[in-house]
Amino acid sequence: MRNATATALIDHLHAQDQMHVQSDYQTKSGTTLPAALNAQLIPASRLLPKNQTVAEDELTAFFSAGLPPGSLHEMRCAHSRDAGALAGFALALLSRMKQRTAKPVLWISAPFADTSNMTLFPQGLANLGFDPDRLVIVTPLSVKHALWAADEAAKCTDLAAVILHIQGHPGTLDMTATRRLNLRASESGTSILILRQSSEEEANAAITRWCIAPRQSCQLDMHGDLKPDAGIGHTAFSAHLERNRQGATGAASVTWNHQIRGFCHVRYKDHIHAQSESGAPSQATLPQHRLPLSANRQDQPSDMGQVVALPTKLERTG
Amino acid sequence: MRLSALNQTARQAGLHRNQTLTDARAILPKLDCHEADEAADAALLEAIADWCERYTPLLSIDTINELPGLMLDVTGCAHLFKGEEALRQDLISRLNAHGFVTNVAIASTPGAAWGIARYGDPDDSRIIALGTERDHVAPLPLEALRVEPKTVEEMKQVGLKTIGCIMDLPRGPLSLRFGRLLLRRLDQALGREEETISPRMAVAELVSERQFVDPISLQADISRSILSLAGNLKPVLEKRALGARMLVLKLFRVDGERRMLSVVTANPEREPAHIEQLFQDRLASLHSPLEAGFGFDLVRLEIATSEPMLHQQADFVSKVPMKDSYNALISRLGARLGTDRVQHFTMNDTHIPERSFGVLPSIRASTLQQNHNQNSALRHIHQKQAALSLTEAEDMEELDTQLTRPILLLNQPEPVDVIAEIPEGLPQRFRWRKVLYEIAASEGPERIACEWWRDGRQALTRDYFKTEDREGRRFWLFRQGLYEREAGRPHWYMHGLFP
Repeated sequence: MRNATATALIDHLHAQDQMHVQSDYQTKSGTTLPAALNAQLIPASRLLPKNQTVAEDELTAFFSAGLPPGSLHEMRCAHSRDAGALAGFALALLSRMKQRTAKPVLWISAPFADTSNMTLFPQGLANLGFDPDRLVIVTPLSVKHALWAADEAAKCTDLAAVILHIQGHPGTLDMTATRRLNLRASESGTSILILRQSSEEEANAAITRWCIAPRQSCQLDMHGDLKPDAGIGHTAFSAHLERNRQGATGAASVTWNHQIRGFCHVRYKDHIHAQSESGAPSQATLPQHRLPLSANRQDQPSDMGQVVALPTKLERTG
Repeated sequence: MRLSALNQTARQAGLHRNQTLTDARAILPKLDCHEADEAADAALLEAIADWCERYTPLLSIDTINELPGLMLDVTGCAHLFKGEEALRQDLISRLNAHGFVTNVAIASTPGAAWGIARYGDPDDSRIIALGTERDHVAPLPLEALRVEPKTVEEMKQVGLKTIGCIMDLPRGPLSLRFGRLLLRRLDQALGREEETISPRMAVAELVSERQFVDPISLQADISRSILSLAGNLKPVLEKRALGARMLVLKLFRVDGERRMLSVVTANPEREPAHIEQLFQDRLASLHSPLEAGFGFDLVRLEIATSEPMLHQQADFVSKVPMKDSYNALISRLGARLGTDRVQHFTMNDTHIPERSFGVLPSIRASTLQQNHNQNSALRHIHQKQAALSLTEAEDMEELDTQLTRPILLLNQPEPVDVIAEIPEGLPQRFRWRKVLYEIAASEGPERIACEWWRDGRQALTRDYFKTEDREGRRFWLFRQGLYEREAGRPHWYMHGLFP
């Protein structure tokens, strides 16, 4: 089913982007990607520099078409100091959406905002390429109220997306609640996004789950080579698609170009190394006491706990 | 210690107000007395005033000459209670059932009613027909005129005891000797001068109410009555081409309590089902339950503010039900969570980041947006970006090539320990929230000068730096104060997170 949508999307893009120069890019694996997809990703005037590659897999569709409408998605980051990257990536992906581009977006902040003491900054939103006038900020008093608001908003057909910004793992946002959100979203066609700050993986009904981490920005020179020590370049993320109910998972490093409002893939010199490093945060950075995860994961096997102490044999003497 | 108030029994025993307690005890040894509590008295009077709203929305509390009472304007309301006498009896018997003794008089002028209620003969009629104020007011003592006790004393000294005595005296000397207030009060009592009461609450534009013989207490019943009351209001609103923006629901409990709930809508509304839904949300958000007690015997729905609303043609094409629209959602969120918890950004014309934006309840913003053109600066940037993304513009340099503003701003800049070159070098490493960050690259400074017209001349300049640490996190730091010019040793602050 996903393939069907992807094909439809590509056809649509073909129709839409006739004016772009159609050129074939060679990806890492050597296959030719639909040119229109590339053209949508990056304007034809900026032919792909040699260090940038179009994503090799499913992720391309996401980066090109934005958040799929009418479904529930989740993005998380490991630490609250990565909240900027998380919010930035979510809003960038939202501004790539093709439907309901002028409709409002509801940002529901569950009541932790006081502890982390941060608010969205409208000038920064505009800078990123997202119209702050579209944003409605909802600050409920409790997680229960936040969920109610998300539920109500999910039914609304006049919204582009609903963002539920939470911290950690509130018990009320369980499988039932997320499944209900997903159902409502599919009925109304609104996208729902759970932004989970400083959290771990948790099983729920979301179609996709991303782990977002900031990535060292890159400055490219005229030839598309990475310029070392050139200051801060385009915002970069390492996006790891941890879970995808409708397709494969994967990881990619992307930059966000706010001028053209598009994602670009970056191939770092140490690409292979960067992938393993930027994908899932390594075991060393994550706390060791992990929750048991769902068994049929596509991406990586999970450890089901940790040996705390070996059983000792009591020998009775005497 | 003096008596401030007394009951019927004490009055019959010959006690009066302002009498000393010792005198009173000498007359009536068994006198039971309590210390006066003015705050509690005032609160009680407020509660009774709330309760009296069942008769008229126009009522005020008056405390002239320390004789507190309620003034109800029942003009045009009496027929709802089958006449003035029936209304008066209803009021007396209901308050009596709650344990209050009342003196109620109905007259065509507030002045006459005030005097007769307090000083009138108990056996005399308490309903003064239009034009007969003169006959009824004449035998009253001068205190009934609402003038200063000092003036009354002075008049008594010259032998003027009743209102009738001064009614036909020449006005000039009277005014010269006792002040103009006296004549004004006299005119007001006799209806020669217009007097209006200032209601304690804003009077609703439209009201619909229903009385119940059997008090209702179930939430389902309340919802149903809201639905029918809103249904009553709908044709009137349609006729006037209005829609409600603020609605107030008043529930009068049998035992005299009154509950009030209000909802604000994002756009003019007159559909009973929507209004009922809003009140259901409002009821669900109450911290304590409604406490129906023995039930509510009067439910009233008021439209506090309304706005023009044109008839809308029904649409066969769009399948969107009205209840799922954006405005309906904003109204519901506002009703349940509170209107100040659903907000839009507004822009201010300043460079100081934390002052450059504000928030406005979306309910107000939605009306603004219809005829707005604020935020034009941001819109301009945005349009430019949109245009750029379509046409391949050569003048891309016009836009910042990098992000210059963070996406998350700290509500309060947080102090950080920074190692930086002095006097004005880039930061090298810093510690924020107990974590050490090694800076890999930075850009800056971007200098934002203080607003001396707001903060005074001592305010410090800020130099903002965008920095990136080794792991790729991007921060917005600033150094407050110029080295050795404004501050001896400038402090550093964290102010935001970049994506």
